[in-house]
Amino acid sequence: MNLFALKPLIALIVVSVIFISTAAIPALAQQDISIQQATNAESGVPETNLPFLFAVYSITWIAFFVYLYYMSQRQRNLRIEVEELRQMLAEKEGKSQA
Amino acid sequence: MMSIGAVLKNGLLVVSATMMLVILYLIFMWVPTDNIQGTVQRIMYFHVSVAWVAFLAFFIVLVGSVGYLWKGTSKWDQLAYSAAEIGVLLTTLLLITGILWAKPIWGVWWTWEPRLTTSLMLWLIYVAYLMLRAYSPPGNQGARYAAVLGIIGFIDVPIVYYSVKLWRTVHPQVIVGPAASGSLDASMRNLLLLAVATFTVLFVYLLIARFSLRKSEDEVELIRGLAEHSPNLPPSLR
Repeated sequence: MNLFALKPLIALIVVSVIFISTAAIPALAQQDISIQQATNAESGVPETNLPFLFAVYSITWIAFFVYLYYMSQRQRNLRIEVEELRQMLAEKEGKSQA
Repeated sequence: MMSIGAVLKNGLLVVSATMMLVILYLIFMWVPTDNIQGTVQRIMYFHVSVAWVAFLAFFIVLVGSVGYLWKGTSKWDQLAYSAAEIGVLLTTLLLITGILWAKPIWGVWWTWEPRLTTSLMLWLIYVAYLMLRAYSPPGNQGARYAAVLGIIGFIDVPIVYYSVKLWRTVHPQVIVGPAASGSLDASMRNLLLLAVATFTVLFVYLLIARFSLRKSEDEVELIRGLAEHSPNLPPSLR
């Protein structure tokens, strides 16, 4: 994976953070009221579970980004190995010609 | 100038990123809140999607393993290995998101009921697959053993899927696929299908990226093996 492939991901992280901080949290706060009403009326489940929701979405995103980072690092190391092999072969060819 | 493959790969990433943003917007801004579970029910859109894509990953492991044993070409093995690695990542996320959903709804982090237990077994089977690949000697033998495990291990996938029908369980009924029976609001169901499609596109991107990386790893391994006879080999390549 090259750096070009990571650019959309970086943009995605930035947009997601902005999105969650500006839109989702106020939306959730508004929904708390309706949930509280529904809760009182129907189920009696206290709406104190937002940390669980936050944890699920955060962990899923972090896991995908860490995996993509791992693949990009592995690709980089492979490129270095291939370059070393290429240099070694070039040196050998130079010696045999001399 | 980028190749068609690179354009396709980057295109898939952009499409999955865009779809992910759309479903995030719909999950938090559009879909109604569940009356019984409240906001925490929104975990379902990621939890079910991850489960579905994990099953798809293990199905590809099955296809790759059968292909390798049948044809004997390394590309099938590379496909199976790549899908297994992503499948383990997805199953790990499935278990974590399930645990985080269980605590507020059931009051416990974990319970040894059929769906959870068979899902944990699925995770262990494919972790064993990756360990087998990591510790087996170089050559075709490790790949053959892993292919057999990849085929046998897939037996657990339908068991996980039908576990809520086969046994008495506290886990909700199946809401996606051929055995779907759980009742779900139409808007929730449509959003769930869109979330499944989004994760599928992301999975295809990850699979293509991991497959090409695995191919490169095998090629470098082969070259290193050939170059080991050379006295001029740098220490990092020995």
